[in-house]
Amino acid sequence: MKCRVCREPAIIDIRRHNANFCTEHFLKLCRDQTVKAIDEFAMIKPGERVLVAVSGGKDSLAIWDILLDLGYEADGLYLGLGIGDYSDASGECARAYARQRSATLIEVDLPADYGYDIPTGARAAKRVPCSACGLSKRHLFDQAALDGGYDVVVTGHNLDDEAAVLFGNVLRWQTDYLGRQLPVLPARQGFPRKVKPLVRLGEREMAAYCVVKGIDYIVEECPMAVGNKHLGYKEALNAIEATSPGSKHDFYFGFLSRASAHFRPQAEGEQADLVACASCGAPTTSETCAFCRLVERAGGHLPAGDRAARAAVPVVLSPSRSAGAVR
Amino acid sequence: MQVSTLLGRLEINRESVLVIRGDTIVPGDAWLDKDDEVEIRPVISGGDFGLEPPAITGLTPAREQSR
Repeated sequence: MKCRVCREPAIIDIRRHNANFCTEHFLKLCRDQTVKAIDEFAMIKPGERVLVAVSGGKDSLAIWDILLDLGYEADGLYLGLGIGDYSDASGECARAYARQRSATLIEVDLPADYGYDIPTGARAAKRVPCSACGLSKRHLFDQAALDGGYDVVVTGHNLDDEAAVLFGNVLRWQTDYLGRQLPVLPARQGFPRKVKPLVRLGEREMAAYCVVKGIDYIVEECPMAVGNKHLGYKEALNAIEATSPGSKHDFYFGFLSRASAHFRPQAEGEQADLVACASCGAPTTSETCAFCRLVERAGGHLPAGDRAARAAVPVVLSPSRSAGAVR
Repeated sequence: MQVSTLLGRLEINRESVLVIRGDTIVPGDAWLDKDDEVEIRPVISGGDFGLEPPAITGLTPAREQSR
């Protein structure tokens, strides 16, 4: 098997590109596809400060690495979720990478800083763990970005992630979710811009990227995610991909180009009326935001001094940063 | 045996894993020696899909049967 570019021995075949790549040209492909996504969807402007949501997994470490290689001013944010050995190991992967690259890693620890962990929070709030985890992550990423003066939050969602989420949203015709499923969510009313520069790259490529670059990531799956319905969607899509390479790409990018706009008006209408959370000041549709309700039910607390300070100076509920373009 | 043949025998979708020998990724058409040990590393995030990561699969018949 030869590299499509240089005819040297290939290390990986990417069937949706009908091509094989050697180490050098595989890494170039990953960088080029990331640049293409950033440019195509106007994700990050030159000179902007970037905060990468780092889990210690392959995707977040890979995108952090690519952005640093591309010259972006990119810091990492790691959230300690209190999921036993899994959190210990994933945190160490994030710290080791930051040390290796002399990069800045901000850490927030749910048990130490907020007095609860994901298993406890999920039980208390009667949510599935992934729901409590996602809620906590979204709130704390937003808060850290705004507090730190970052222009944009980067997440490691890849093509497989987005195709699987789309698959689930279409199965249930969740039109409000479909209207918000974009590679860029513009900044608005106290929320930072959020972008997904890996949407042109698959999960397998991201794992390969880390192996080739010698990046240690946590291979084990989060124990809380076992049975996660998105796993089933990914299996179904991979079964289709095996017989029809390129299906996941066509499904997702076809949605963006031909269907997404039909669902956007409904999603935008639902974003209209936000007020400041009475507890933390974050934007919310009710008196107290979902995160603060989760913290309260889990018997946790906001960090010392945080509540009074934020309640006194709520998040500005008007766009304070230029929004990224959305296709 | 080729990597793709091994994955086929194990009924593993190539989209779901990387095959790694030593520190090197092994492409689907690569040939493996009978004494080779390879890691079949799951790449899907979001839950368990039937392999305990990292899965180590040797190519001796006994090891294959143990999977």
